[in-house]
Amino acid sequence: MEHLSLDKIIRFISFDEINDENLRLASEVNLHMIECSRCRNKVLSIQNTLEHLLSYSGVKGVDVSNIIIDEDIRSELDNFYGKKD
Amino acid sequence: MGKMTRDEYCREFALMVQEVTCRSGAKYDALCRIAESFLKPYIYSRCLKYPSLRFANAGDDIYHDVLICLIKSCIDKFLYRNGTLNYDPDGFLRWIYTVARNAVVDAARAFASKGFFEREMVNEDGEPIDIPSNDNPFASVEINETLHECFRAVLTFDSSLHIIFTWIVRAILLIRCDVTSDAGEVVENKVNALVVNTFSDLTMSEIYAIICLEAKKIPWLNISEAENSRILGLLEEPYRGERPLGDVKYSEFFMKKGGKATVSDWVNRVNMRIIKAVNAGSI
Repeated sequence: MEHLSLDKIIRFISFDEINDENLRLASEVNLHMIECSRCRNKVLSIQNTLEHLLSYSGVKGVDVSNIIIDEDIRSELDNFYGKKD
Repeated sequence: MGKMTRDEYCREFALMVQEVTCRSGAKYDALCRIAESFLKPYIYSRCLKYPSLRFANAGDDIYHDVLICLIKSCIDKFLYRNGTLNYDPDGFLRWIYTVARNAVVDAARAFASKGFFEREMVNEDGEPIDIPSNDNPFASVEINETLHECFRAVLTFDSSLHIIFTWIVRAILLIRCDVTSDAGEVVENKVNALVVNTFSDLTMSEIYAIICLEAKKIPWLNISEAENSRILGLLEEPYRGERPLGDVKYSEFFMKKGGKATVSDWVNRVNMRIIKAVNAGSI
């Protein structure tokens, strides 16, 4: 299997506009990652490190890998699932 | 769009999985509909809790960023996080709410870090007031030709790539982090430890990808096409006759004296070369 080029991974991680070209790139990279654990781990590793770096600057970088349920989210979910306290 | 019912959501989730895993070409239409139904109202209501976000009309920007984040992360961070399809509509909903929540918190933190009125605000007519953003921590670094020349020179040094990469990522960390003591001096051990902690488990090609991605935000770190091609070529070359250099973990290059001491040693070597180049007038 041919792996994703570093250039493609960089373009995928750095795009910040939703347009046809970027959606095609996302489609290609995402589909490849389903089949290829090596590339999936590589993208994940780079994304996580960038989030880590952003967290150092104190501006951004909350890890989206872990699910955090705070009161607001719980209330949204309770409303959706029809639960009432 | 009103909020979906549970049945509608389950149908959209099924469609989304079908779309994003379609071998003939992934699509994100259902993902966008789910985001619009659940996250758009959530983000807007959450923004109302932060005066800075409320006055800056930040909801649209945050929603846009969240949508891009979901498109980029839906496979590796949720649906195929463990290698096989994670068909979990309820878990997915919790995950996308978490992404949205984090994006709002991040944006609020960003506003707080640079002051209330320092970002794009709107006037009474709803038109944006153009105030220079200080969003990028590197923007505060004085852009001068010497710094630029210095990085350019380091990229062309014939030292091993792991040594050059170390010097660059350390410079990035120095600017990203508060690694100064009370006296304002850089705490060497602290920044070297950060380099080790952050990059030890990464491969050389992953570190280079991070340098390239950071270079997009750093005005004084330009990687020319020729340098990029040279480095990509080096990363393809076999290391000790085995794997390509790009697949070798950074920590494999550490000397016996340990990561921190190794980083210190490599940085000193590059610094010495820079001093020589400056003295020789080539920088």
